[in-house]
Parts: sequence; C-alpha cells; structure tokens
Amino acid sequence: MSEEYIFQTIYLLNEDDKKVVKLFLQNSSLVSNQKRTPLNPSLQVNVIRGYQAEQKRVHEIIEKFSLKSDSFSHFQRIIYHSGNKPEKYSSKINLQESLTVGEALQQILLQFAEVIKRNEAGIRNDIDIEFLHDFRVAVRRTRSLLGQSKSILPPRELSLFRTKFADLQKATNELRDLDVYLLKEKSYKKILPNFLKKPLDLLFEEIHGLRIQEQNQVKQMLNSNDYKLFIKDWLKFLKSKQILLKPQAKTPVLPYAKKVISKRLQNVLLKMNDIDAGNPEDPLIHAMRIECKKLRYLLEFFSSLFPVQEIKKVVEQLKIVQDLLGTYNDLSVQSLDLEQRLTRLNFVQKDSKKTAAAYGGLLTYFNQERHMLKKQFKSAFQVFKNSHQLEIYQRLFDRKF
Amino acid sequence: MKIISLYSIKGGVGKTSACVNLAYLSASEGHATLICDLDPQGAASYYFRIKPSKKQTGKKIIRRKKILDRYIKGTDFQHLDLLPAHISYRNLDIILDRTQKSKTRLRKLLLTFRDEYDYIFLDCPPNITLVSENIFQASHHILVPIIPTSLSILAYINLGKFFRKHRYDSDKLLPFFSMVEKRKKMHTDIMSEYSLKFTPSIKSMIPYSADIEKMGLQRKPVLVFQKKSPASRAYQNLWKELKDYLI
Repeated sequence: MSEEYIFQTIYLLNEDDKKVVKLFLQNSSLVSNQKRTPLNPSLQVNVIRGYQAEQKRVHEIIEKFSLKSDSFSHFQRIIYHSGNKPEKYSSKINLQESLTVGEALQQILLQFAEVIKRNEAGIRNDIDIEFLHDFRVAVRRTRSLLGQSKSILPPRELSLFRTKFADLQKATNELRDLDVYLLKEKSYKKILPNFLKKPLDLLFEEIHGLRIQEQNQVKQMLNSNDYKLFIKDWLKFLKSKQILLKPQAKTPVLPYAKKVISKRLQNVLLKMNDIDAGNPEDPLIHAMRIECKKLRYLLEFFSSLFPVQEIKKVVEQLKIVQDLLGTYNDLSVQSLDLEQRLTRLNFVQKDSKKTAAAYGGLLTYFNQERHMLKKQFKSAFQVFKNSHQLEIYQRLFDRKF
Repeated sequence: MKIISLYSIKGGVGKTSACVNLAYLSASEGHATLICDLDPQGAASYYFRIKPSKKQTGKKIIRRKKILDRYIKGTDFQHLDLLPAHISYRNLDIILDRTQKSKTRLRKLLLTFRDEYDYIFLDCPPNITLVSENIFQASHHILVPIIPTSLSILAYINLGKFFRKHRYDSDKLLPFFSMVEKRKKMHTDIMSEYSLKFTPSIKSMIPYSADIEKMGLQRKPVLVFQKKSPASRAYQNLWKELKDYLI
C-alpha cells in the first residue's frame, strides 16, 4: 500500500484581477492492488502580504461549508510565503511508564516512520527545503535508536535496516549540504567588502545548478521501487510481533532508558574532559558533536518518563553545547569546501583573482570565528558538568558521574 | 540593501515603466525587492493592480515607521512587494517639513527594511521638493530617464547644478536615454552629442515602444507579457548594467 499526492496551487483574484489569496490543495489517495482509495483532500489558505482581510474571509467561507479546520493542519508547514512561520515539527514523544522496551521502541520508530512518509511528497515536489530537513532528522533519529537496540531487535533484520537507513541518509547528504550552502549566500556577502561580492555570484550560480541535479537524483530515489519496498518492509516489520519477542524487549522501559542515557552521558562527559585538556583537533570536536547528538535524541525519546522540569534543564544545557559545536562544525565544513575550491581554481577564468581574494577573505574570517568559538567551549562545558548538574544527572538516571 | 530611485524633474519620461520592469527583473533573480510608489498618481501601483488600504496616509507613514510595514502588499510575482501610492502623498512635503531632520527622514524609514529586502526601488514624483531631497539622501543610485530632446537635457543639466549647489553626491546620478525614437534625427543627434558628456552614464537605452504603453492595459510589467520584445530586451540590458553599480 502506498500514498499518492497531487498538489495544486489556486489563486483567488479580486475585482482588479490581482492575486489576493493562494490556495494550496492536496489530494491524496491510498493505492493498493491497483485499487485507489481517495482520502480527504486538504486545503491550505496562504496569505499574500497585505491581503489578510481577504484571507480571513476565505477561511470563514470554508468553515461555513463545514470543511473541518483540522483538514488544514496537515499542511500548516507549507505556509511558505505567508510570513507566518511554518509550525515546528514536534519531537515530543509520549511514553507510558508501563510500556516494555519493545513496545516503546515500536511506538517511537513508528512515529518517525510516519514523519519520513509525510515529508516525501514535499521533497519530491521541491516545495521547501524544510521537508528534506525533517525527513533527514527522522532518519537520523531512527538510526540512532537502532544503534541502541542490539539486544532487543532480531539481529538479521536489525543489520539489514541499519544499512538501508545509512544508505538513505547518504543519498540525501549532498542535497542537504547544497541547501545549507545556498542559505549562506547572504551572510557570506555581508562579510566581504563590496568589490569582492560579485565573484560569489558565480559560486552560488554553480551551486544552484548542482542543486537542481541533486534534487532530481533524490526525487528518482524516492520514486524508485527499491525505496518504496524498503519503507513498506520497514513498516511491516515495525508492526509485527518480532520487535517484542526477545527477552530484553519484555523488560520495563524506564530502567532501560536510564541505562542507555547514562552510558551516552558518560561518553559525553569523558569527551568534554579530552577537549578541555588541550587544544582540540577537529576530529575530536566532530566526535563530540555526534556524541552530543546521540545523547540529545535519547533524552528526547524518553523525556516523558522523567520529571519535566529537570529533564528540560538537562536538554537546555546540552543545547547550548550543541549550538556551539554545530556552529564550529559548519565553519569547518565551509572552510574545507572553500579550500578545495581554491585549489581547483583556474586562473585563466574571468575574475579568478577576485574570486581567490573573496575565498581568502572568507577563510580568514571563518578561521577567526572558529578560534573564538573554541574559547567558548570551556565555559559551556563547565556549566554542563558542574557539581550541581552532576547531582541532577545522578538523581535522574540513578548513576554516579 | 540598496536603494535605487527612478527620478526626473519632468513627467512622462518613462520613469515608472523603468522602475516597474527593473524591480521585476531584480525579483525574478531571487532578490527580495520592494517598490515604493511615492508618486501620488500611483502609476506603479496601478501596473501591479494594487490599491492602497483606506487607512494609509502620508502622515502616518512618515511619523511612525512600524506602520509602513503594515501597508506593504505582495505583488503577483515572487519576491516582489509594493508599498502603494496614496493620494495623501500630495501633501507629503508639508508633512515632512514639520518633522525633525526633514531631509533624512525617508532614508531612516527605509533603513528599517535593511534585513528584509535586497533592493528597494523608489518611483518618485516629478518635481524638486522636500520629497525629492529626501529621495536624493536616501538613494544609493538615482536613475534619471532622459528623452533625447533639448528640454529633457536642460532639465538634467539643472538637476546636476542643483546637486552641486546643495552638495549631494553627483555620482549617484545615473542618466539613461528613454523613449528613444531612432528614426527621429533630432533624437540621434542629441544622443551622439551628449552620451559622452554624461559620466557616469548608462549605455542601454529604452526605445519608444507600443509594448511599453500596453502595460497600462495589461497591468503587468512588459517583461511578463512581451518577454522577447525590443523593450523587454532593453530593460534587461539596463538591469544588467545597473547591477554593476549595485554590487
């Protein structure tokens, strides 16, 4: 069984034939054994700037014809030009303490599978880069959880799905990198003096071209039978009893959560000491970033099992550390890319001197920024692992750190 | 953010059409673009089928900057917004005169959009008043369309004098020939005589064209409904040249 989406954009015009409201219609249907079952169509009313009154009227009319307003929520996230921010995809997971490990895993993984499926159409139609981002976050979370499930899931299936999800992530890496690159255009230009801004246009034109190619590749991948089969198998597996059978899967979820979280937390604390010890190299910082990410996911998966206020504080502190590491990593990745471009630069090309100068300017700036960030690591880590925090960790996860 | 105004002391020289089409080109390349229609006749607004909201008045706009935001309207084209003209702008001079720092008021207002727009195009009313002086202060570049006739040239020379006398930066002025009719000998004569004298100057010229006049009927930039016409190509060349100044 699979879902099929058809998107349609409809404009409403006023008496001057001016576009005043943008309607976004989505028709979806379930397809199985050549049978097509249409689902409720959903409608998104988008504001065009300065025409809020018209938008409100359209809303009223729609409500009057009793198209229920929950049919909108499906597409809240495509409010794209409206100036309203898309509704943030929620990472909240509500687990009951009475669940077994297997049941909890099942619930969480199904939720991510749902997110993966829901974002496919948006990626295929290239509506907004956020679709790919959410899709990838769900994939990464799935992988992270699978990495923790060795003793719980049947080994053959586990290793199969782990490779499949790793491939899926890899297949979308390039597109996401290009998306992120294009987001940088403005900030890059802000850094450089006016006469060096122009060469960057060439750079971003090139990246734009690459992105179009990459977008097509990802679209083909999503349309491929391989992918469809893989997701189908995955859902089938998640809904089967296999996931609940192993003895470890039948134990209660809370002790398990405490165990995996404290293990990750211990790793993070150890790596923090390493970084604090001296002038850390990039690979170590990268490893730390990954470790923090894994910890963050675990905290999010199981947060509903712990006291709200305390777990929130832990996540907040972790987030500060993650933001620093993330910015640092972005700068490293960008520097590396520019360095490679610089070595490839052909000095016969037009404007190549200016291009080289522009890259040089950016590289210098990035390097300075990275130094500044490194200095900030220490104090952020200190907050994360001071004795008061350590007490909280101990209280929450029943282990001394 | 760069502010570009289309200005001429004389009316009917192709100011608004140039403004509308250049802004459209800017937006079509993905730059967040705003047109401010400062001319109370509201031709630019008319071309985009946009009417001002009833509460919008010149007084409110000058006094309270946040309010400006509320009056901006999205056009039918991606990345392109417009602040519509309002009849009350005819008194803009008087209102400006009563505010403090009356000559830099507009500049200050527009700078609040620094993060939101890459380019702001001002379609200006034809005259020299306090409004125009605000425009001279605010703009990074002032495009001046000139019809190749003696009177148009004279008007431009006077504008140059005014700039020098009041110590505005003359480098901001970018004259270009507009509504050019190649078969008129006077046009070609004047153009060959003056094109070298204006520096810096723009080489692209906008021809006199029925397609541009049709914008009034179509209510769209000519680039939308006659993409391959000579007029459209002329605007594309003009935009290309202008971009060299903007970067």
